[in-house]
Amino acid sequence: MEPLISQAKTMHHSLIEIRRAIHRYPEIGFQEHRTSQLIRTILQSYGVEILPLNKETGVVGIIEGKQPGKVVALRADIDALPVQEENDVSYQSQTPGVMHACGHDAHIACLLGAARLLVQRRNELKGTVKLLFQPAEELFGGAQSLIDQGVLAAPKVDVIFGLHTKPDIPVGKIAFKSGPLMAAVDVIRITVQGKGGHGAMPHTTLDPIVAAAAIIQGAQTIVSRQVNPLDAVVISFGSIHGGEANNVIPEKVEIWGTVRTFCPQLRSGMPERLRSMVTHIAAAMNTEVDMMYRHDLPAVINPENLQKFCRQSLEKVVGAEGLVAAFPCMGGEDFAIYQQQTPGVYFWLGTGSQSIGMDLQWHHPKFDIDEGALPYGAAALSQLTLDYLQDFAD
Amino acid sequence: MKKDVKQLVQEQHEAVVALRRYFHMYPELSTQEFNTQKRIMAELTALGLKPRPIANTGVIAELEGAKQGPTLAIRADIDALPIQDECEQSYQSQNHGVCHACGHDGHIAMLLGVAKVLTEMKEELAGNVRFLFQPTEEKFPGGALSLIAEGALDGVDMIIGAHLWQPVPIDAIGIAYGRMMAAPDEFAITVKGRGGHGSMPHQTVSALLVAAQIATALSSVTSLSVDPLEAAVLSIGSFHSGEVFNIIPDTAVMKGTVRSFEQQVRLKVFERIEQITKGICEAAGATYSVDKIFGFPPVINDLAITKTFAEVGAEVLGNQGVTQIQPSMGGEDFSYFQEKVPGAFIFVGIGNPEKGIVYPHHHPKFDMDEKALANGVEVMARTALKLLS
Repeated sequence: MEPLISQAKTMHHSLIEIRRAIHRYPEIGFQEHRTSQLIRTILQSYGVEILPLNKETGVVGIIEGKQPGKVVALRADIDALPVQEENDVSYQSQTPGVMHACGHDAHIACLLGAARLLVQRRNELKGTVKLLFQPAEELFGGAQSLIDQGVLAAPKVDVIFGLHTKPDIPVGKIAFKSGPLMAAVDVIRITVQGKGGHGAMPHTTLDPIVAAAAIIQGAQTIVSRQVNPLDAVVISFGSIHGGEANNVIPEKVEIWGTVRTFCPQLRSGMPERLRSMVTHIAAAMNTEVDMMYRHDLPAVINPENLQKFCRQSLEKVVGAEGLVAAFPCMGGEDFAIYQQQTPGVYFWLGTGSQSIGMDLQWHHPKFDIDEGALPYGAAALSQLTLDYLQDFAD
Repeated sequence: MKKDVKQLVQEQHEAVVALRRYFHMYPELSTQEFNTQKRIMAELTALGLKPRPIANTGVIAELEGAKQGPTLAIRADIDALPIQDECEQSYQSQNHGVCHACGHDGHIAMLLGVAKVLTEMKEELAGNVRFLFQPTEEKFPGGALSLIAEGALDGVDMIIGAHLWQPVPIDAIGIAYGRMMAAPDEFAITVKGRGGHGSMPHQTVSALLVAAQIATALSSVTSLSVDPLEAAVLSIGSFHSGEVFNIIPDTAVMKGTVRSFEQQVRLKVFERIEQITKGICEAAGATYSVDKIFGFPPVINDLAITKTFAEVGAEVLGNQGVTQIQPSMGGEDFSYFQEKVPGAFIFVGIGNPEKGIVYPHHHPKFDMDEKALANGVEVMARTALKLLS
């Protein structure tokens, strides 16, 4: 049989067409109605059965192999971002203020390509493939929503694969690593409560702005002084708001931030580290704090025991020279939610090229991909599926 | 005569309180005191005076005494603050986000009360009284300058004014010979860094973090760079940066105030603001701008007029009712009038922990013991009568 990558390359034009059709009409998380409809239409044209869902956005297709076996899930996220596109291209977003600036349009095209390739090989398939077109990744709610609708059960999923476009990796390459790949995402909100009053009489007030400034700096010492320098951790504050007038010391100041970690033990200790730092600094300045610490997403961690399998399978698509080491990144991905339930592997699909510019990161208004990557993505997802059902057959 | 003033004040106390509550319910921000102006005009007209608008939203009116003599101006400021009222009283502000949290509602009511008393006693007056209802005390450059520019002090020989004051207890007035209130200046610091995703701090320069470092460093300016025997204040009143939890912001803006009594101290503090901001921004790879807005001059009281206040205060409230206060770091554009004519400013005590009157000026729960209004009216009216006797 012809290698999957060769077959995928013959589908290149239709993959580009799909990706551009999606790119033109981006939709925000949980509002992907048009996108979902397009996905259903294409899947049905391939002869893929669609499973019913309770929610209106998101699509799950199922391909039954000719022979019984394990169940592989493939996941693509389908939502766009509240970003105004600045690319002057024929397939530019037609929706003002909304854009596929994170490559999810490409993820959809790759997964549809994989579906088409797997349908063509149904006779070889030893098991079942579930195609998860997941809404609302950017809102961190989509994976949980699909899981709550039972997509990992009946038949129970044995492994899940997913990919993300990566602009700093050249097209034709795939980056993979076992272990931590993307960070756990936590959200913090700190309200510093002081006592407001006239700016000219600071001694009659308890100044929450000075306390908040000290807290923001103190928090950085958790990273530099408390955590093992070999462990990665980020504490970033994204907003601070306190006061209205120049001469009125406000009652309170609100700070929002994010904490990123890989190591689960380190992560579980972060709320207490922050709470201790924040409450003691506040107390030293006679102010009080209310701290909210929310665990939004666990880290994306690829299992060690699938490392060898993945390397061998992915090398069939991009060759030994095309499979490069992935560097972990502190961004978050709700693919991690699936990995909490079932073994799963996430990898980067190289979409960068000199002509596109490899420095424009995710969420940039001029983010774009080299569409030459699409066949590699489709081939990688279908190759992993085919090989897994073969290698791990009972 | 002594009995008459007290009686007049007592008779109209309820009306003055009602006026104060009316202004408290309908506060208006600096330069927008249109409704306030309308009501003041109506009240003065009802007294038989001929008020006219001045400085756009202010009011000026003249009362001629029966006898010849100098002209005394009495001034009240009439604007409110951009604060959400949390006083939780029946007279809570009906204008969302605007509040008389500095007592100017009481200042208007008191001066209307004084106008009523003096109108009824004009036979006793050797000279004229000019009532100045001044807009925009809370906002630079201040309404006093506009009043002066439009001739409010033409022919005026002296000026008095009062501020209802929470740190002074009820049934007392605070006086100061000479230095009384500070020069209030403003600054705004804008820090420009490089924004980016919160998960990749190494690709960014967080304007928020740099501004926090500046805020901390600024809090030691007055403790380290100013002569400990001199007085100075530096406060940051607002600090805003960023929109969402996971995006490192590229801009941070902090606004603050500087208070001082001496030009030298004033310049030193601003020099330090610039140096600290520059140094920290350079170290972090950020850029910045510092806007400096120099406000009013300090309030320096005329000794003779202050002495008259002290004597009248003792007559009205007893000797224990007159307190020589420490100068306040609050600013007042009453100082512009004092640059032109001899003048004195007093504080009328409103603090009363038993009634829960404990919140400082500009606090959302700021309120007053309204008995202070009667004290204020009596002290001001009698001082006017004495200065024009």
